[in-house]
Amino acid sequence: MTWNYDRSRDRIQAHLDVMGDVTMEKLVREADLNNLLSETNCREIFGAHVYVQISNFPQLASQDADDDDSYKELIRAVHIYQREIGRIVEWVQIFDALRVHFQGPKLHALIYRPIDDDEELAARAVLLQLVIKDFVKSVFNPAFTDCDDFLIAGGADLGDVVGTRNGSKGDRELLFIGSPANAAAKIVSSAGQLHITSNIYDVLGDDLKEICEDSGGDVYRIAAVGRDELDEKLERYGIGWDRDASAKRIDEDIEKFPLRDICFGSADVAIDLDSLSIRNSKRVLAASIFADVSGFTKYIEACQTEDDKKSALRVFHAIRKETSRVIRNDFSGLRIQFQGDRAQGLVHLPKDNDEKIIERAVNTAIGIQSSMEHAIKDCLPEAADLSMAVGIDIGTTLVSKLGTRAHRDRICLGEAVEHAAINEERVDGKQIGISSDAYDVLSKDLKDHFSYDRRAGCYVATGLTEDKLELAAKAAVYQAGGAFFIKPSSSGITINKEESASATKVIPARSYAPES
Amino acid sequence: MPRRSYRPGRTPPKVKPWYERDGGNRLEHDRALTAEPYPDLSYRIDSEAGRAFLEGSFTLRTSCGVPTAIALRVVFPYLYPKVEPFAYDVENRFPHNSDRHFHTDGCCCLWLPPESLWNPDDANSLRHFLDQVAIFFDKQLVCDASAGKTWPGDAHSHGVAGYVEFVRDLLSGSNELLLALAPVFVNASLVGRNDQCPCGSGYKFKKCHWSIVQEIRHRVGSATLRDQFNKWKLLGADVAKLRSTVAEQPCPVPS
Repeated sequence: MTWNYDRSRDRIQAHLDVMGDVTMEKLVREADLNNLLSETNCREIFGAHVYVQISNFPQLASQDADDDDSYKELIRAVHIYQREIGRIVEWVQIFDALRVHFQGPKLHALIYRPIDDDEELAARAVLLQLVIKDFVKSVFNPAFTDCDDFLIAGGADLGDVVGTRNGSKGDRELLFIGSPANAAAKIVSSAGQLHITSNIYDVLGDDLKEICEDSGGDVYRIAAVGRDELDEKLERYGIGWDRDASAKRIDEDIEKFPLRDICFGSADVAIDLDSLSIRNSKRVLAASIFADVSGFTKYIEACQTEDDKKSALRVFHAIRKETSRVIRNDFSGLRIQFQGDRAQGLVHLPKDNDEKIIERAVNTAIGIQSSMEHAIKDCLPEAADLSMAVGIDIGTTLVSKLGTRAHRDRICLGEAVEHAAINEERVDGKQIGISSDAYDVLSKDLKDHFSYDRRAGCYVATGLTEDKLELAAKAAVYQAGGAFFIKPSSSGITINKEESASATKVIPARSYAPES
Repeated sequence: MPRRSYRPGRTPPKVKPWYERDGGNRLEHDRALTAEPYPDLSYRIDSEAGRAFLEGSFTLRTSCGVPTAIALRVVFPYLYPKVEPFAYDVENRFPHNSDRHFHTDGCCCLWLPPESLWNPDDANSLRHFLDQVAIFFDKQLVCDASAGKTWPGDAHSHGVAGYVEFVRDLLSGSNELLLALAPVFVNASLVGRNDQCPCGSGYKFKKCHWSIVQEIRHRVGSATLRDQFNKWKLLGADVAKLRSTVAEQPCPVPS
């Protein structure tokens, strides 16, 4: 299990060779984006991106981790929550929007119908957040009395994004790239509040503007509204959410998924993600990895022409696919999900061996950085200004596929997942951020490359790639002395301690220097 | 021996540059020698100046396959192959300072001159030289990658201290002996062959350390030896000062 430049470069080039030309047009009429979008068939989509998160989920997951019954209750609650939220978002008579996916306990939805109707889209973005908050408070939490109450936080932004899709069979996800998709996620606070950006506020009708308060920095907080007031606004905007119908569906789901059917076990071999379900989840000691293309949103938004955007999308898909291959092929990890230009991975083997798991996770991160800095930039010189930011943490993690049939998302739940994502968000491009728990169990060779970064709040390695790691380790080999072997090849000279027929034995000279 | 008289106005005989001597055999030999292991290096002949250069790039690959191209120029002196060539980092790929074993003009300090691995009688000497340059650049990459940017592997101290180390090593690493013999290195006529050895053994110099002093003079060169020891102002220095002066050098001193 290791990263190799030639292998990485060859597969990137092979992917680019078969990718074909990227087409990109503006989405001008209603279409099923799941069918329309592909790796090369992309659309510029005007819409509102909404993120709604269970803001206290990390605490809930950690406090129930040691009690199997409570944990099962929590898994079932999340599963049923995701099913009902999916219906609220997607059903035509309710919001008629797109449930992009759940990122663990966080929903990402895209409201793009009616096409280009900014006022209507903005109104729906506000109302969706209010409905989910009301649903959780008045329907969901009362139905799950054995669980602590879920607290909801949300954020939304409006604008153009590029919609595309990754292309593996049975492993396809919608991907949206652009600042609205990022900004909406960034304004989700952990304080259980709902927010919108000024892009949404500016086009809202007066009746919705009056429930929004300026909280500075082009962000507005949506004030709490009473049940009657919400119902009245929903009716005005033609959104047919019925509180009682939601409650009935929740009751049906609770009956459908009795607690005794909720199963989770450990995993001695690599988890088969396709086999996961609410009835077959895995709870494992695992390292979560988040790898984000630093600056990609700005990069694609700076593209002036269609050709530039197409070129940027080729870069994006090359990075995305290569990141996935490093995680899966080079280091036998699991690629959980793509979240726009961010990839989520998981390493859980060898079972319960925290030192080996974190070593493999850090090596995966180094492999991702190596692919980006060497192979991708060699194949695609236009990616020269891009870099990867990677965050890692280790802890007990639930791995499952939850939600409704045909719309099940791979999810990882646990504090370590949240912390890995936070580490990734706090580090810069070319950096790898790991939490102190991960740092403590890291081998000395790797530890030497990390130092504590107060700003990031984690241990950070900068510019650490596979070749740097190898060269740093070679210092001790040179220090030990003895002969080296120089092996020439058409692609360059390799110098190491491995004797071979074509290699020349050389004893390094003792260097000297004149007085400085 | 009759002295040659100087004849004003006589044009000195034109001497062929090294790459034209023997019908250009040496150049062709070296070209064939380096073509396979170092295919990105090629010869450039400056006929007007009568000079030849070997130029191009070294591509060093790590075991994981990452290539690093380093632009190189090998300059051949007039007396090549009797005198060794010089290798230059021509695109400032590495910092040109003594801690990195470079002259300020980018010339690589591969070794202490008395320890030169260049063998003028070896037909493959250029290949061996380039192999050492490859190792030298590999060490530069290792240095870049290491946290403390310290030079990997064995190295002499900079400047005069490097020569002193070299002499001391030949004297079995003895600082006392080095101090005792230092005056002889500075002034060869100070002690005669039949005088008592400065080491204090009571033996005649010719029976004691004369042969090792001769070897040191031969390998370093009398003038260089005198200059280096004069510069260092060793005379009168005590052993503690000698130790600390050597130890103070930035480069690691081998134990």
